[in-house]
Amino acid sequence: MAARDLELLRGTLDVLILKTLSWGPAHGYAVASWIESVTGEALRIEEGSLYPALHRLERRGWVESEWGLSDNNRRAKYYELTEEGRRALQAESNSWSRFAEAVGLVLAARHGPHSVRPS
Amino acid sequence: MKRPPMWRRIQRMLGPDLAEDAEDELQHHIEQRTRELIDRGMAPEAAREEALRRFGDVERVRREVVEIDRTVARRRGLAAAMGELWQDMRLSARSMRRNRGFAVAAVLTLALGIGANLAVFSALNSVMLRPLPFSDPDGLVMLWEENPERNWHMETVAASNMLDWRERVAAFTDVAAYASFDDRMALTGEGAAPQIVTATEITGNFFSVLGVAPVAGRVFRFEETWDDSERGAVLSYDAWQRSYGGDPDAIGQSMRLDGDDFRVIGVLPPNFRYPGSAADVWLNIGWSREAYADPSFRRAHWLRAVARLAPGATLEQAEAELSAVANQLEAEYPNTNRLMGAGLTPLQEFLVGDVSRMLVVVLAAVGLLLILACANVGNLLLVKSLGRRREMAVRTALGAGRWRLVRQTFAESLLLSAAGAALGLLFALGFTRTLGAMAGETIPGIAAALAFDGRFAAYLGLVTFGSTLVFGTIPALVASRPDFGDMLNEGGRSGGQGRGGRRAAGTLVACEVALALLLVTGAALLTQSFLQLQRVDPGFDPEGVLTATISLPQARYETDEQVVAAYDELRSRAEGLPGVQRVAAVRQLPMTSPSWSSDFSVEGRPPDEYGVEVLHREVTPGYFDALRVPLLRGRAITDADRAGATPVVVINEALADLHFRDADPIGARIAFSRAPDDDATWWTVVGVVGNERQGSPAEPVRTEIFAPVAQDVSRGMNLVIRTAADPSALIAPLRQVVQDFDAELVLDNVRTMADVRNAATAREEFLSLIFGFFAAVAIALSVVGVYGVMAQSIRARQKEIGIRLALGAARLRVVTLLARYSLGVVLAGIAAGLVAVVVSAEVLAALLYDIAPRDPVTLASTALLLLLVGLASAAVPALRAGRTDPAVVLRED
Repeated sequence: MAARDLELLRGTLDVLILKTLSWGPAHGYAVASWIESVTGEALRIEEGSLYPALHRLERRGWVESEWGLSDNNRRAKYYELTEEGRRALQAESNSWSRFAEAVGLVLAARHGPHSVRPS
Repeated sequence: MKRPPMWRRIQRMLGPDLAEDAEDELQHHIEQRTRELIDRGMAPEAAREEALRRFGDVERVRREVVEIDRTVARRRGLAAAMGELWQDMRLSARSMRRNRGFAVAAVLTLALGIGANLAVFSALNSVMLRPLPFSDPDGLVMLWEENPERNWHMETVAASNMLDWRERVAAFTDVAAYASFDDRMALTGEGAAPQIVTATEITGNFFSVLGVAPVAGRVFRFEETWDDSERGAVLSYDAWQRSYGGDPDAIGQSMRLDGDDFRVIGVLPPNFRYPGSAADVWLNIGWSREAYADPSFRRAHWLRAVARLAPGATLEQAEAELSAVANQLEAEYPNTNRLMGAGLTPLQEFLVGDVSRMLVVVLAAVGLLLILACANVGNLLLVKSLGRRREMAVRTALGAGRWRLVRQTFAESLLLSAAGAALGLLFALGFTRTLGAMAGETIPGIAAALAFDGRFAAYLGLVTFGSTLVFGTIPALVASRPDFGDMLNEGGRSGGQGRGGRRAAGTLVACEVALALLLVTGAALLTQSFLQLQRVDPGFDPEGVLTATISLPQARYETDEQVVAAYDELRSRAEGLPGVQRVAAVRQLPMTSPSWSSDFSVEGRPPDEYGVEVLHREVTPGYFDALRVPLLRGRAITDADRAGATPVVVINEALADLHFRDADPIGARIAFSRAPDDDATWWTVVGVVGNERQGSPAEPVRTEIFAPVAQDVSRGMNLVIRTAADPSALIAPLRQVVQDFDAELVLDNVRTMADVRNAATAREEFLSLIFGFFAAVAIALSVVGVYGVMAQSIRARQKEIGIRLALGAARLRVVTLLARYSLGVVLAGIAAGLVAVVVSAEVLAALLYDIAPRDPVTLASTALLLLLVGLASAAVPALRAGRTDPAVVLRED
């Protein structure tokens, strides 16, 4: 896989995680299940790659983590969106929509490109 | 449950275990997924497998996550540490503001101690530690001669011997020499105002042996040692600036020194210095190649020889070779080299070793003073921290760790030291100037300004952090030990101190007393030694005498007759000045370092019967009169003792006693030779005078002979003028007389004989002054210490005192009761101090004259002094306590 694709994937994953956390604090498994349930089989990601992404977001200060107890009384690490993370989500989702829109426009085009010859 | 191992617990304290946390988080995910799959009806085994498959490479993810977290932790750890330090500092600063009096007292005390240390260290650094500005200074050695028969050790060397070592000792690449005395010469020339410069004669290879390159022109070559090459001058950078304004065209110009022409050939670099030398110009020595073979070249010892060791040669090897050559020379020249040995010392050690040893003693003293200051500040801090027990308890209860409290206390101490060091640096600037002024000539090369360099910075750091440790430890211990605190609690609730705290304070005060005793004893010994030296009878009367050096240049006073006539004329003109009683001249003043000595034998006695060497000075008539040296027998030198008349001498009492014993020396004839041949001049002894001290009063009087300058001519003389009035009032008229006589002559070293005498004990005076100052500060500090601990213990027992007084105890009894504790502390300090004095006494031994370093009377008196000081400073608060009104005290609380 080319590095560009990975980059794209990472950026996408970050937006998905931020969006997930915008509903409230969650641990990693919850984030993974939510993304899965929303996208269904459409976005098959390796679940493991979620964690480096979470920690990287923490390093950037977009999310904060805290150890707490999960529903079944087990030690779990909860992530929460910071104010900075919320602003980042706003910016990322805007650019993502513009990107998606642009790609959509290209794909919906009816005329092919005309070649222009120098006279 | 099993306790985690110690290292684990410590690691936990330092921060979270990142690997374990990551593992927990990932396993949580896999377990949840497994559970979900089981809930959907999968078999547990298969469910776990499917969960792992979906997750991917657990190990890789874990590593990646830990790596990310580590950078986060690092960033956070640093921020947290800085934050805590900042918080500690802010807390400390706030606490200082609350106790402004305490902070000011502590910082001032520390600043004094640190400032004094910095000043002394800077002096030591500039004199001793800074390497000499020569290339590879470690490869340079000073060569000297020694002779048991003449009582010589590390003596100056004879020219021919030095030249022979140069040829014969393979362990030296080269040997150079310079005159052991400077010449003060009148620099004249076109457009230049006459000024006196210091000139030193050197062999041509002197600068190449040192490895010093000129900044302009060139230095001499070895060939220029001889008189068949032109006489040249190498200028110091300063002299170049002063005389030529730094003009490069000065090179090649001719300059007149004492009327002789010298060509300026080069300029030394600005950082060049040669310890003990103040030379402005360096002249090639100009020996005649024929004279090299003359016995006088091997007899006269007046050079300092510097050698550079050959690559790979060790000191031992070089010394062995040098002695072997000295033995050869002794065999070859028995007449001049009998028992003449040779040795060597590393150059820097030779040049500054003596001064350095003295400065090390001063540094040790000033170090003790700093420790004393630290003890005092520690005591203040202790009192303060005991007073803050409640604050500490509250902070502990609020969850501040014990370690945190210790750190807090140290932060406070560090803040104090840092402030003390900053202020101390300012003080040091002033102290350095004072030290330089006090030391004057006694410490050649002492810098007038603080010498900032790496070593100085390191020392600054050392005293700052060292002080923090010394005074910060006990208060920190108090902060760290709740049990210690409990012990303190017994003291009662009203700011009492308790046994533990009192013991700590008592120990500190006892240390202060001990250190003060050490310093006071040192001061007392050095002062007695100095006074002893001052009391030594110089053998002449220094009061009411003015002296000045004058030198008649060969160019205009060519013949002996001209020289003698000039001195006669100058003397008679000066005698005409109002108030002047007697004017004479002598080649060398007493109580300056004696330089000329001669071989000696008495007619009709076997050679060497009475020793071989006497000091030898030339005088004009009237010299003994002018200095009031008593004439014991015969007659003094008169105007009749001129060239052509019978050669006569006057001898000193030491010589008469040692060599003539019961026989009458008057009429005896002596020769300045060990084995007089037929051509020898015989001098008839015509008188015996009292002993003058020729050098330092600490040195014994040496045998000496005075010859009339008219019969043994010398161009450079010291005028000696006795006046009924203030001698310094004569300076201007005397200059005028000399000016009128010959405008090109310059008077130099104009000073009173009393100054000359004082200069001979300048080092002792410097030491006793500086130690006296240290001792005074030490006493002041220990007064404060004893007073403080006493006042504190009284405050703790105020209630008890009140009760006792109320129950009718005699006030005196209460006072004695209170004083008893202080007495114990002071006595313990004195005992410890006495032990320290006895143990360390040898350090001072070399600096003392006529007093033992463990002199019992001195020890007893200083101990008594400190006891009285201690009691007095304890008595003030005790007496005040004795006057308390019991009713007032008991109503409190």
